[in-house]
Amino acid sequence: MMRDVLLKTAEAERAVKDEKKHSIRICTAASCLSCGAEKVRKAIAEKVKAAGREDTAVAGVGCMGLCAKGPLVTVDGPETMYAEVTEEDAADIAASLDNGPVERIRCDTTTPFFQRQEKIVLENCDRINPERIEDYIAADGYLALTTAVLERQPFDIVDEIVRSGLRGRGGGGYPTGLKWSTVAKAPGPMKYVICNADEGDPGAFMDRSILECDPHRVLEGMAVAAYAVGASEGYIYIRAEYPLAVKRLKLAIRQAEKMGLLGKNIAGTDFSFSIDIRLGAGAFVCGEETALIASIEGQRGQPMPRPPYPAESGLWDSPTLINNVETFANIAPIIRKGADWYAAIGTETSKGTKVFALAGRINNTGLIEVPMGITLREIVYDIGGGIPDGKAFKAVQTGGPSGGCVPASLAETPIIRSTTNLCRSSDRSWGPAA
Amino acid sequence: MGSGGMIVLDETSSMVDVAKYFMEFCKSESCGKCVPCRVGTAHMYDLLDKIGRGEGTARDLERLENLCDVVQATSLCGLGQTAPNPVLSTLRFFREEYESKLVREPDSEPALAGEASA
Amino acid sequence: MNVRIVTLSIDGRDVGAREGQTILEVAGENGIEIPTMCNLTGLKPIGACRLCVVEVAGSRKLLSACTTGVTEGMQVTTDSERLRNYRRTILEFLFTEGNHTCAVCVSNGKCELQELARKLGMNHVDVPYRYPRRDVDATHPRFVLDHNRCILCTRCVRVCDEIEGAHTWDVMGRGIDSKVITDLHQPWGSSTSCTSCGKCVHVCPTGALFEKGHSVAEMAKRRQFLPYLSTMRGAKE
Repeated sequence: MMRDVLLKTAEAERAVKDEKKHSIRICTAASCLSCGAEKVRKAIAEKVKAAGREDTAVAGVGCMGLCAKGPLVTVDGPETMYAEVTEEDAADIAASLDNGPVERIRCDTTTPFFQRQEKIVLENCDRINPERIEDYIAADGYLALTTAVLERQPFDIVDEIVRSGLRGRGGGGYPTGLKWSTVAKAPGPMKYVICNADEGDPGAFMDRSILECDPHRVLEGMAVAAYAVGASEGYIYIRAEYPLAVKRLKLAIRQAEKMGLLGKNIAGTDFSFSIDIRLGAGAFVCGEETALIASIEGQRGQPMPRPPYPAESGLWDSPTLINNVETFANIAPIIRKGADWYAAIGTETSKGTKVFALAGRINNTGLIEVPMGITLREIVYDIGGGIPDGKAFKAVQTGGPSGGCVPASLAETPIIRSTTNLCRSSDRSWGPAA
Repeated sequence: MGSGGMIVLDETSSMVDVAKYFMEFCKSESCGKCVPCRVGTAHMYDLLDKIGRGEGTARDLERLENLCDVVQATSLCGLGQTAPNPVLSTLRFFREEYESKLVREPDSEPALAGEASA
Repeated sequence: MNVRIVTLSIDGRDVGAREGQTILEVAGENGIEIPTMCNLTGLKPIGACRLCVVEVAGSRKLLSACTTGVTEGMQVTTDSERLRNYRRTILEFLFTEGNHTCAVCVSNGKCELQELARKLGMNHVDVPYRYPRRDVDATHPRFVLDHNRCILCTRCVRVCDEIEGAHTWDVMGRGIDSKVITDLHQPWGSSTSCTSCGKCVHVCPTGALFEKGHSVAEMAKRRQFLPYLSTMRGAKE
């Protein structure tokens, strides 16, 4: 597919959207689905249809963040949000198009939870239907990939990622550009790109949400990476416990292949890249890259000592690039908007934003994306809305079983890629610099 | 592994329990290939359980810290190398919670009795 | 064939090595002994027992000597108070994990685990014995598998797969509940893939695998065949 086809698709899609005066969006990520979002979507669609409102689009979209108060619904943009919506509210919401907002179930979006966030990875989540590639394309999707393969050289793409200062979002925090350039330089007729979606930390659901809400963004990031390092085959290793994410990924891969954005001769060039899905069978250790590779190879999911690192000798002994879901989700915006734009966000040593999954004893449990350098206090008290039942904030357990507990006394320190000795080897976790 | 999950704890949470929960996770998720992670996490879990039940001694706490060091330094992969982190960080910031649960050394175990209160 | 030579230092001694050799091999060639357990010359090294961990200047992590290749200018320390303590604790882990009662073991006096404990000065254990309930599989006409004495070094798994080519053995379960199995967890005696070659028995470092008909301290293992067989196999491939 040539780029003008892509641009035409985007234009046509936007034109269809412009025809509609109103849009009602219902969160259909796992959390809201679990409390009845699908019923709410059907009820609203019926009421809107019954009212004969052909000027209104009703769509299921991705995560809106405030999982504690699902199902969430927005009307004409994120400002008018309804929380804990039930089927009974559908009539009122449909009527609100004429009568003004339904204050009874309205959720205040002027709070820090909505205002203090900065969304790059999650930018599309609350506005596109994850099951339609046209939605993603209308939101500048696959522009980064087509620009890369048509106009730019692989080394130029690697350089862009190096300059962006992006670091791996899976916990290791290794500079992404450096990893890419190692794989790009590694000799070999065959190279692989692997997306690590074996998210297993208790309380973590960032990667699941990204895949459920914006699967094409991850596919595009992988394809750009494959072009940059010279790979022609890719795998997404995802745990089987994420059926919705798997379903949407499979659909997304099919859609992208159909449009010539994945598979043979991407965008009409010589560059070919196909992606396959591999399901994890429930072992946490398969999130470790060498164990993950063993598992893809069909062996028992056990790690091997490094070195050699997968960048030199990985899947089937070929140079292999492994990045986490969130890392790949950052690629398209960096290519689209440039390394300088990305590097201006965050702090001197930690660039960009980080997605966190808030859980436990906190009022606003949910999915947030914040700039690096924000303090723990801002996350817990401002964005998180504090501790329920008037209890005192004691600590945050972050980074799962390989992370540590950050006490309330350190709440004022900024969140960066921790380089200090929080727990003697905390360089594997994202947390405050103690 | 460690990524962006944030579990907020309030004053009612016991940090020994938190450490024990994560150690139970690591113990059951250890693949069993390397010795320090396979056996070390099981021993650390038992010690955390003992201390959590109020049956641990100062010597047990010392053992626990020693095991953390060995498992962290010698495990093959990231799972074992970081498995002690929840224990080490809670020990660093909430040591008193561990110590308040300790019992006096039984007489049959005289080693280091003098350091028990240190 | 063009073999590049690298120089490195092991315990302060400058030594030469061929590129592609492991730290363990180079140390051995120079008379520097590093304790090992899962490693066996002729089998693929896996770095699992962690007894051979060494300090390498510039690396924050300890590296297993059996799997780490030598590089130019590498500075390796194979022996220090810290390493000795770690190795002793790892041995303690092995002893407390299973049920190792030397006095009634067929391999008493001929056991690599026992020998290593003696060498490294492990004279007590600081962690409690776990006393797991484990089975004995005596269904094979000639051999016995006693899980109580198994330390999961997986030498049996590798020799069966890499040398004999039968892949009768594998590991089941995970963590502290891991165990070696034959076929798909069937009794050894009913295994259809086992060729009864006995290599697994002779590479086993402890009394976990032994020949029937041996009593306490009678089971001597013969593994001289291994380097020969692996060379032959390598030449064929």
